[in-house]
Amino acid sequence: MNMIKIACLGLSAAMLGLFLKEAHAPFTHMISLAACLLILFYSVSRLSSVFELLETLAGYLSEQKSYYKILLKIIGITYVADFSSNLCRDAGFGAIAGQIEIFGKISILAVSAPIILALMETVYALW
Amino acid sequence: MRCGKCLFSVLIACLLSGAGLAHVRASGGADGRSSTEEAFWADERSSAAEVSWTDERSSAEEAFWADGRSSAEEVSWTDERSSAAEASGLDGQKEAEESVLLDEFTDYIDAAEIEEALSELIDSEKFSFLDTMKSLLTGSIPFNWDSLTEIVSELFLGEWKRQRTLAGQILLIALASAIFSNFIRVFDNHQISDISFYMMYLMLSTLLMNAFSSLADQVSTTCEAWITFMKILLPSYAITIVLSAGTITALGFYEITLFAIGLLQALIIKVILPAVHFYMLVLVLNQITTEDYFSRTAQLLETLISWGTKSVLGLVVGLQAVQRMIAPAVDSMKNSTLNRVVSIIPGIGSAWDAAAQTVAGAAVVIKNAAGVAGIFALGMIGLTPFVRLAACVLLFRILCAAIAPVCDRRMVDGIESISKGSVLLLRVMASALAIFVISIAMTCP
Amino acid sequence: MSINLIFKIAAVGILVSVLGQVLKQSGREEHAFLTSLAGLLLVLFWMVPYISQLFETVKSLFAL
Repeated sequence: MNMIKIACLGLSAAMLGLFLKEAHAPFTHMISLAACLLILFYSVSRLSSVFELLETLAGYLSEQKSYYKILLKIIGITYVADFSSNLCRDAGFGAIAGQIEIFGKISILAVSAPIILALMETVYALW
Repeated sequence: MRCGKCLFSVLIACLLSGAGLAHVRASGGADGRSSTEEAFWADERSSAAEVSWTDERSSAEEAFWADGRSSAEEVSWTDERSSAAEASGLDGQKEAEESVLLDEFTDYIDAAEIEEALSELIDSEKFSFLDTMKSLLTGSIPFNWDSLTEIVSELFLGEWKRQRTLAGQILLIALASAIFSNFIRVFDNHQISDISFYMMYLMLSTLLMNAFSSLADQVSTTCEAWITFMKILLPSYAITIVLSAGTITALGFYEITLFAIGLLQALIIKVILPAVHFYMLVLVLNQITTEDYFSRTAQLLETLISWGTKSVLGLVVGLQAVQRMIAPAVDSMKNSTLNRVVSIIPGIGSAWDAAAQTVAGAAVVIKNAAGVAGIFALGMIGLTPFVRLAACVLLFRILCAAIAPVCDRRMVDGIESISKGSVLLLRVMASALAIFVISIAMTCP
Repeated sequence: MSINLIFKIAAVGILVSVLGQVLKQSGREEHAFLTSLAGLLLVLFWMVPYISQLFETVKSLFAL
């Protein structure tokens, strides 16, 4: 699926949603959810090829591969948090969206703790 | 010490009395000419001591002094001609004398021990202290420039090859971080870009600090090698100074060089080199945060380090200069007193004088040769680290230039910190080398 | 997993709204409400597998 198809998908979903807004309110959110899901699904399949590139790069670096995995986890957390919070905000529930975002940030911090610890340890060992 | 010196000089004089007498005989024999020759030589020797001549002149010396001066003024032009004729005729004989003297001297100053110590300290086997000294004594330059350039270029390229893996890893990390940061800019989340930068910078700084530690270790090893070599060279060199100039000069040189060695050890190895290490650490850590917390600290450290090395250098050179102004005058006063007194003795006098001249001249030549050979040896010891540091600085500057268009500014500054640290190490090493080289060079004339 | 999903949802939505209007006109409000509820449930029933599939893919890709 290339860019044009995704663009067409998004635009048609938006227009159908507009049309349904007058007809039946809940369905617009369903349509936006469905469209987001589809686009996310396609982008994830694209992402896998990018991640393979990054993995080969990380292989050249030959340092700990766990750092690379942590980075990937962080990207995943951000992506999912972004997705869900935007949907909630679209549905008019800004508070829920905010809470999801905060949780996302906290979990990024928790997951990246090993890297910061390793940084501190390296600095300590150098000195 | 004085008795020992007298005894030794007398011994040499007796040994060479045959050569001395032959010298007198070959001059053409007329006593008048030999006495005026002696007067001319005595005049030349005492003119240096005239400046610091005190009231302790004895009457005999005064009479002889006036005699020597008047006769020298009368026949100075004939003397010049005769000495020129003699010089051309006597070159071969003088060389024979000198070579005998030189072999004795080299045994006396224990050149074998120096040679052994040097073979441990220098990597390349192309340098030999004894050979350098001997070729300097014959007047030729001990190096041919081809072998020197070969050694230097070999070291340079070897260092490049060794650092190539490191440079490749750094390049990879920088490029990967550039790709990551571009990718992550998709999300507006600054947390991700922070974390990814920390990760990349962590790997980079580990690599850089390891490389710098090995360089700093080599510099401190080189400084210790210099100190070891100077400790071994010092007694032998001091002996040559005793024989050529005098005890006070030698004592002054010995004391000041020991002081310089102690200063080098206490200040440069124990304080300044760790300070350079800390400077590099501060520079590397400064780049972790976006704001500039530690750049002023790094500047302060750099100022302190450069002032420290300059003041050590200035102190030692100043002490040597002051000592060089006073001591040789005192020594030549003592020497010419002794020579004057002994040459009055009718029998041995002329032979003593000629022998003393040859001894003094040869000792000066040996002292200079030993000094220059010592300077060359110091240079050879320091050659490998110098070339390594220079190659490192160049390589990382080139790397920075290559990476700068692509990467984050902080990463480029982090890589540049190792070249800044290496430049500082070079300066410290150059000051340490200059201390010893200038000390030795100042005793040469 | 294609664009037909959106058209299906849109079709269901239009159908439900039309049915709701008709039922409202004929005076059966509660039936209208039930129809819209049924339509929502149907759409959800279609979407939930997609959502779970998506999250499974994300989990595996990002190693979460």
